[in-house]
Amino acid sequence: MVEWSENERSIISNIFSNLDYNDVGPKALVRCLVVYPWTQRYFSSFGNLYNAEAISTNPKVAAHGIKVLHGLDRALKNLDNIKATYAELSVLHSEKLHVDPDNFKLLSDCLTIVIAGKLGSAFTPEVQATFQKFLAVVVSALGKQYH
Amino acid sequence: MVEWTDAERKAIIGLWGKIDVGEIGPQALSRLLIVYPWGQRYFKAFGDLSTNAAIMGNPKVAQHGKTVMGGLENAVKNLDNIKQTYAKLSAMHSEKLHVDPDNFRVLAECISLCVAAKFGPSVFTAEVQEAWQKFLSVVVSALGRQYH
Repeated sequence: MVEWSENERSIISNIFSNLDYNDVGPKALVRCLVVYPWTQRYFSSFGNLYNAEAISTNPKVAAHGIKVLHGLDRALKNLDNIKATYAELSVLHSEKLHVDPDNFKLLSDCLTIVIAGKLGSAFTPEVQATFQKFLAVVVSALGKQYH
Repeated sequence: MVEWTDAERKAIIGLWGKIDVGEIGPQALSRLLIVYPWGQRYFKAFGDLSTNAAIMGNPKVAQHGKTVMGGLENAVKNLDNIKQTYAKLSAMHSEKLHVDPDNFRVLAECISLCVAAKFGPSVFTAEVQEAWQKFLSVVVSALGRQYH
């Protein structure tokens, strides 16, 4: 089971309490689709993803980015039980959406870049270590039900 | 061979021009040693790495961070021949320094995060990130090439 120090809980909680989901969610997903273009394959129903400009103004991408980021709320509220919390979502991504679980890490890297850009000098090595640990646990839980 | 679009070349060279090697280099290496502490095994000769504060204030870490970051200059100047440019450095990291090549990828990640934090999203846009990470992954690949 994952152990969290009081300090780590506090850092994670602070990041999310100061987060504009409607801004960060879309930005993270846009970056993922631009920086790792093969991820666009999951979003062929989203319309125009032809270039970075189109992706960054696509309303379906924005809406989905917000949805995915809110999905992290569950982990935030259940830090001591992330694996069980994401069991259903993991099954969904595996059996229904057929998402290659490598992509979870790619999106989490893009989210980290967006948070780093937002926090600037407040994105200390300690904050980085804690946030990356949190995302790694989420990514692992999302991949757990794959077979 | 790696193909670079004009936009990618422009993004990489543009971003490199803004980067202060003496600032980003030490930050990136400190982050590596803090966030991935097993990396400290390569720096026993550097003295006190016992706390985050010690690492961030350690002058040998700072100097070495600057050296490593400065090494990227060669890649920026030789975008069409990075593999050849790093052949000797690769052999050195493998045969003399015995560095696990996974660490190159991890340091590249730390460099990107330092750059994102320093310049923010208006400079480090999605397109610039794509070009920069592609550049770093080519460098990482070249550094691992002579390993056996």
